[in-house]
Amino acid sequence: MSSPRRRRGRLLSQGTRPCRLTLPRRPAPAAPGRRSMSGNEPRSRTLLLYAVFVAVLAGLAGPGVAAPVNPTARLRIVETRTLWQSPEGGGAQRARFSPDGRWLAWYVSGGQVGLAALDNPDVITATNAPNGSSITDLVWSRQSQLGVCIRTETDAGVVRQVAILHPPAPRLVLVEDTAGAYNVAWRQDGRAIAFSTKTALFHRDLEGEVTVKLLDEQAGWRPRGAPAYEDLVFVGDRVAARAAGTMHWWLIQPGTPPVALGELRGLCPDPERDRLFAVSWQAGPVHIPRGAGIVSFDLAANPPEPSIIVPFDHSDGKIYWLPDIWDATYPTTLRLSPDGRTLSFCGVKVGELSPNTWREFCIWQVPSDGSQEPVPVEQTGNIFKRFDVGETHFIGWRYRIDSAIVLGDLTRHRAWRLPDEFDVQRANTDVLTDRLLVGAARGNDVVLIQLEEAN
Amino acid sequence: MRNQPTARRAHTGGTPLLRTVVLRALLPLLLLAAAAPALAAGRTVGGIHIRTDRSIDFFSRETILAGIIEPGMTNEEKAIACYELVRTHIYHFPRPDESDPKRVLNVYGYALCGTIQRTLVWLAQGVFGPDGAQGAGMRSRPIENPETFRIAAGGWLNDSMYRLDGARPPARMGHTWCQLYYDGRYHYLDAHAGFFVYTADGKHIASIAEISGDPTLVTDPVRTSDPFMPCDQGRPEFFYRATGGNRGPGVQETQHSMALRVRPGETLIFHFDKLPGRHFKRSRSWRNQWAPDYYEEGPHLRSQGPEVKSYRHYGNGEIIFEPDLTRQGFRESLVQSENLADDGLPGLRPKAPGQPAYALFAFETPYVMVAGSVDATFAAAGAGQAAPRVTFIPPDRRARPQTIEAGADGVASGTLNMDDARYPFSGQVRIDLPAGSSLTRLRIHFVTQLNFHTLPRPLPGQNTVFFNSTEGDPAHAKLQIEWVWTEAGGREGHDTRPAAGNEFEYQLTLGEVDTTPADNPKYMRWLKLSIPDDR
Repeated sequence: MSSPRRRRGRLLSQGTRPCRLTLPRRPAPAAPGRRSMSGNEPRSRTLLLYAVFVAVLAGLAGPGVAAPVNPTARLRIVETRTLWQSPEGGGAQRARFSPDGRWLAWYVSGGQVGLAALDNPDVITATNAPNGSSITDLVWSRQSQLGVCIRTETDAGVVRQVAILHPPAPRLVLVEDTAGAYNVAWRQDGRAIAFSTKTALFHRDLEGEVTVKLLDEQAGWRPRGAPAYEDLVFVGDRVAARAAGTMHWWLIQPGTPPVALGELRGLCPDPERDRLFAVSWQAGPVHIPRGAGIVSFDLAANPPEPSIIVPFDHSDGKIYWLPDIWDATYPTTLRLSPDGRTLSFCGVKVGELSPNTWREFCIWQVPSDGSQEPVPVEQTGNIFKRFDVGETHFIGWRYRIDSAIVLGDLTRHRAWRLPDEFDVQRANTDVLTDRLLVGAARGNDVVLIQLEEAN
Repeated sequence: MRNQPTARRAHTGGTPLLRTVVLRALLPLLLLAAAAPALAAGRTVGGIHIRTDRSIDFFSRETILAGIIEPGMTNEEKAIACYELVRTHIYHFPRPDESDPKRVLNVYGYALCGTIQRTLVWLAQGVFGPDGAQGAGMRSRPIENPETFRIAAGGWLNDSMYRLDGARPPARMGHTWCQLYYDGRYHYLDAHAGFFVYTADGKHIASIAEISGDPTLVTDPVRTSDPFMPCDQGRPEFFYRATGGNRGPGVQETQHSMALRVRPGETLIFHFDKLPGRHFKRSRSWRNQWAPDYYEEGPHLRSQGPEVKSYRHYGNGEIIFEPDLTRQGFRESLVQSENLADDGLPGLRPKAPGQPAYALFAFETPYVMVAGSVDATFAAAGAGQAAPRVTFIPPDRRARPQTIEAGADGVASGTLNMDDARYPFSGQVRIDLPAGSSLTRLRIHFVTQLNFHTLPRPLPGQNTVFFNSTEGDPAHAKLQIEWVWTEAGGREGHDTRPAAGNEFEYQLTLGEVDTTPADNPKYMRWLKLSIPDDR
């Protein structure tokens, strides 16, 4: 147990008691032989009383006081470089780095797409979207082609369509036969896309210029304004899609019947080995559905059968894992190493007592064949209240037990505390973790933030 | 004060307003003035406290704690003992419209979350001191759709709407909770929901901050209360989705006394059940918020099946005041009179034959009055005189007096509406005697509401019953204590004995009973206290 930490002028105990005590000001140095400000006590006695007071405060904090909550590594902001500023105020959203790390793209209300080469201060703006347009999705392919979904209000009604931008060309190229597209996903080879309309899921062969419907909408409730399928993932030639408003995933290959995969989240494809990893969406001991354990689907089997890679059965008293825990509205951290041998994920281990009052949220690694138990490679403290995940990283916001904004690197398995003034939103932010470079569309501007580890 | 009856007034407004207000204002003084000489010389017995050695004594916080806190208990065990007592004696139902913890426990036995947590705070403050329990409030995000609710794993609003049939939340639904502070930490025990969980190290009951900081303490608990959210079957999401909060209501206090008083001609009956007729308090604050069928059966525990429902519901008591008007015992219940004859002859009559008279009787009970009736017989007044009448005067100034006039046959008989009377714990009954009339028979009957789970209860086997009183002479008054119960096979058990003094104890043995489980008290039928009016 260490002493309480001072933070923002409040004495925070690491436990449960919300101390509202403020540390007393250190007594002003008194001249030798003179009395302190109170005029009654010799300095040494004042300091002694002060020490006793602090000790009493620490004692009042009680057994809730503990060591600082992970992670302890910190980042600091070295430089903030403005790439673009809004001429009219507002509008910049969804900054995304290209997979090759050369470009940062974002979109602006009005249908513009901004594009900046990281090694060039000039910004390219694609402005050829029709007037009154807006962008509803922005996704890079592995080949650094940018796919966007454009929504345009016309006299005939709302028109939606997929467009592609090939940097550095500053023109959006509309993709035919993609009418009604709300969202878009790239096939790994960049030669096909999938998109969802309000009523169905489609596959578009960009080379063959053929669009086929894969799956009609599912019956039942869905969020107002949502497409039929909200999350789209290519697994080789197949498309996995989550029916809007549910956790039900479907796997469809053009020309074959769709396969219901079940209630899952965070699909992680391994097309080279015909596998698909996912976090199961399970009801736990108190019947709350949450991410639990990891399964692998062998896509060569018909139908694909899941096998358990990371245990999630809570009924047998054995240890199990909760990846990402509970917020289903964000992509999961499940990531596969390039050689396909190792899975990484964030979560907590359950089924044994923790040394702390909370369960330690960790970045874990596990062999992708499930041959060994997961091992923690970085501890990040108690779980985040909000948790946003990108391709290579996550940002977590934690308000209790120890307030922190945390950046986690899912590639190199590191985690740091971000500086308090780091006020960007993950949804509009992307990170090149190997360079600790953050691209952030903050509405009024788009900036590059260079971070470095603090000593 | 002058009480000359005036010309006839509205049927329910028989007493002039000014006089009524003055009477009500002076009621406590009048009661004291009237009771003091009566207790000194009469047969009224007050300050009665009955308990047994095998049931928790709900007379005061101290007696409750003496029944649940044992030497050597850890602070956590003490906290759980308080939580369990509140959880098992107050169920979720709207609504007493009172937050006095002693009344909530003894009179109602049901409440909504805010009142339940206040009661737990009150009890726990008796263990941990005034700083040891604090309340707070929390709200949830409004969720528009059940599917969203399921996916987002949060939302008290929807949860409530689905659980409480016919519910129409008055506003954004929320929940009120409290934490107990001991061993240097806060601990969240929810006696309303039946909820507490342990921290991940398994060492102590988690605080709301720890739950909010690690929702897995709820989704995948290390250890929970048992039962764990028995009403919800596990939808505790709103605990870790908590927002809001405050320092709570502070020190909880009560001035309510559970001491009983019996006067000559008076009988108190405490049933371990409800009486026919659905006599229960209708929540005024929530009466428009719930579908009528929700309230149809009266307060009961709705969510744990018919077996539990059969013994977790409101109960009733009775106050029967039927003095022998040929004797003088009724005078001990009088708090005021004018021109009332005291010549020892039968009946209540005007002293000056040509003038009217009145008599004012006072009633007071630890339990809320939910129904009542009056049955009086008058000797006919002379022609041209106003009809004799009986008026019930509730203490609440917003409640109008209720008057029942004697008919041509001299009988004044009718029921009292305690909803209109705003469910009082006391009241006065005024007998107006026109010139030439007399009252020859009087029966006043109040039905009270009580939580029969908090009554002193003998258990199967041998029990010791303890009796204490602080006013009067129970033996001289011939106070009788009667227990009636049903043993296995339907055999009736019965014990009646006279009070032996102001403080005495006796043994009471019950045979085996058929009722299950152990906390089902329905084998008991009633406890009755009475003093005959025979002098």
